[in-house]
Amino acid sequence: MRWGLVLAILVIWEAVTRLGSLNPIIVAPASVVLLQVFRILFGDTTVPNFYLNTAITLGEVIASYLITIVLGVFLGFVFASSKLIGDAFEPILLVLYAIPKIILYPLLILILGIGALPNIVFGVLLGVFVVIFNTSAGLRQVEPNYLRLAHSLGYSERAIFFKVVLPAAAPTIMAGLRLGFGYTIIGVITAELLVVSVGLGWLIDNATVNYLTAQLYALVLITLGIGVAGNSLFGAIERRWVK
Amino acid sequence: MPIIEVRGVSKTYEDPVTGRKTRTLDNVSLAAKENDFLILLGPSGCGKSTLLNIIAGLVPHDADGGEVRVEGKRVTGPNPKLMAYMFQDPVLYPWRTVLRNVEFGLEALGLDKAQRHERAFQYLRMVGLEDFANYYPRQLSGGMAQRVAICRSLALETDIILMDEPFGALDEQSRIILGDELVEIWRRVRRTVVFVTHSLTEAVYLGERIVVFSARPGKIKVEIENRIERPRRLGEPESSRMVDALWGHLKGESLIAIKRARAEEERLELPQE
Amino acid sequence: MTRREHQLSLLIRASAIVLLLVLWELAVRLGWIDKLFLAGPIEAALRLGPVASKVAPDILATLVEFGSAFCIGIALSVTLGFAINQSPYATAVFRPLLVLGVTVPKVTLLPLFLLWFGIDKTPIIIFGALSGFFPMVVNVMAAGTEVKPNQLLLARAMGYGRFDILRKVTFPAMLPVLSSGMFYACNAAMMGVFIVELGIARQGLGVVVHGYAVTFRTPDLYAAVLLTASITVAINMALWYLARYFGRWRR
Repeated sequence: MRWGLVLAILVIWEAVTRLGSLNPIIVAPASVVLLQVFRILFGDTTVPNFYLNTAITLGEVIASYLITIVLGVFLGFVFASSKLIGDAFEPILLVLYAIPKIILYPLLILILGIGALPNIVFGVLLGVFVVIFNTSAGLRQVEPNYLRLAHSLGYSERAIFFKVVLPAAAPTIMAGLRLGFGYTIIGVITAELLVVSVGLGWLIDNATVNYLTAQLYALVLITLGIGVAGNSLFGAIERRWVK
Repeated sequence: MPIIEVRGVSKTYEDPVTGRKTRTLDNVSLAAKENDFLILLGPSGCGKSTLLNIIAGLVPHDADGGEVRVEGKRVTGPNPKLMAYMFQDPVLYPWRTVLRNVEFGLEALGLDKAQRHERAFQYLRMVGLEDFANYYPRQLSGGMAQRVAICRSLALETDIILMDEPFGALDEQSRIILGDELVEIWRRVRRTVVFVTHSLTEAVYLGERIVVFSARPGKIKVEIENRIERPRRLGEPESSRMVDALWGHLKGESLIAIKRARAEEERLELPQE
Repeated sequence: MTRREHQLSLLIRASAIVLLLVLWELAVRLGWIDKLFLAGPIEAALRLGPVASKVAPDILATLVEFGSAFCIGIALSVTLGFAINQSPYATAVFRPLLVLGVTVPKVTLLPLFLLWFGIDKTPIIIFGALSGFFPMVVNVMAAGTEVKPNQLLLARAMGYGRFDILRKVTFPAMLPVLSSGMFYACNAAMMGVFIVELGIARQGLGVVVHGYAVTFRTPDLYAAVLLTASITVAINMALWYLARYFGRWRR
């Protein structure tokens, strides 16, 4: 059913562009775009260094995500471990979350210059909150009965943490990691498109200013595809892990 | 004329996923007279709750000639002016206070604000909860919540009250206390009560007439009049004899029901995430 | 939480903020970071007034754009989400696509948007609406499960018709989840609006910030960012408290 929907959209797209009188600079037909996608993936030389730039973007995503995980989980732990600290910083975190981080982006550029670094940092800014919230929530909301049972069986605090708290919190934490991944990707790609320097963002900008419409559409699809693939991959990993 | 008449009613349930048809009620006929306290007793899955839902108009019965009449008229849908319905789960709306929950049914009856308020309070006093009018459901214990639900049903001032295992989720003491209160109120306001339960002791303690169901497909096995004098006491010999007699009818059916539940393993398939 | 704990946590919070501000100011005063890149909090705060009065029309422009984007996004998502909820089949089909839509980097479509809608208010509003649409529609679909079947059955037994049931049972049950969803949707819509503004717009807070950044007017830049942050945080926190208010009958 879902594929039917996709097919229908492609058909309509093709029909509208071929039959209608839309400006060819604005829309390219589906068939041409799909053709471009294949050409790009198989080494079309009109796209400068496709795989290199993709690798750069992916590299940024991975670096950004690693930092996000480490920072997010660490802070999540800190906020969960001490009720006082957690309660004290919760409003601060909330306010920080409420700021649309994009507005800080010019500051980032100013301080870090143009290049991969601001993109990585921006990805972290977007992704870290979800990870912190989920980690601390997951750790704090372990069923009290689970803990009571472990205590009654004589386990030490340390043992309880590793045998009970961690496994019980795992699904929530994993969900946070998954969402964080999604947001990190959004952050990195947004940053790349906003101040263009390298990576997929640069390729897309290149196609835009040179009015390579079909190529632009193709690159957009590919980027979207990467975003979707990344999220699906993550979802699959999560399902395997959290049995 | 009986206030509730059920004649030749059957119910076949068709599973929307597997298409399998299950007959839950088979040609059931019974009647309740005014001010009756009628008990529907039977093993799980025997269709007693289904019959109650049919009487309430919430579920249609099979269109094969059976009919249900309440106060002489055929039942085609819910009729809150005639019948009040109670679940095992009190179903109090968590976003409304106790008072507003009791008023919930009254809003449908078209009473204005002052009238609703007055009637709600009147019945809250009857169940002894007037001090909790502004509490939220999450602040109430199970017994209190069920008491509010009873209050809500009473406030509708219907001639008939239908109750589906209302005390099922409560602890035994609450069951006994609420049962006493229910009987007390029933004698005072003179309404007809139809009460579904699977508890033999509850049936004997509360009911005037007890209808015993067979295992699925539900048929009526026997109707027993309970003439034990009120106020009834737990453990008195007459009651124990009646419980024993009921068990004699019920035991075989219960065994069938239990065996069937294990053998058929009907499990609901939840939609994929 | 006891009074003492409450006061203590307030103290920690306040000290943390103060500490941060002090460090920030020191970083500038002592030259740890070049003045070109960093303006101290005091200086930024001083510039707040003049900047605010000067960019008042831009503030208005952004608010109008955001307001429209948010309203359109919410209206569409609530109607669509509600409609989909009515059919389990539709839910099964559309839910994965919509959930996907939340985490897909929609900003990738931005160049296309600019191609289609030109450089005007239109792409800003549409993109903002789109950004807010997806999280909200997923939220509406999740809120649909907040109503328990027994609650609906009871209302039917009381003789309420479809519309009354929607009004008296379905909507109040869904309200807490819906209002917290609005908070997230608002955040997302703001992001969407600013992304486009920073890129191409002629009027609006995003443009202002961008302008100060490229001309290296650092104190003004920080003031503008502070201004924008305050306004957006105010709106978001208002929604947050609204969500808390509507959820007060829960745990």
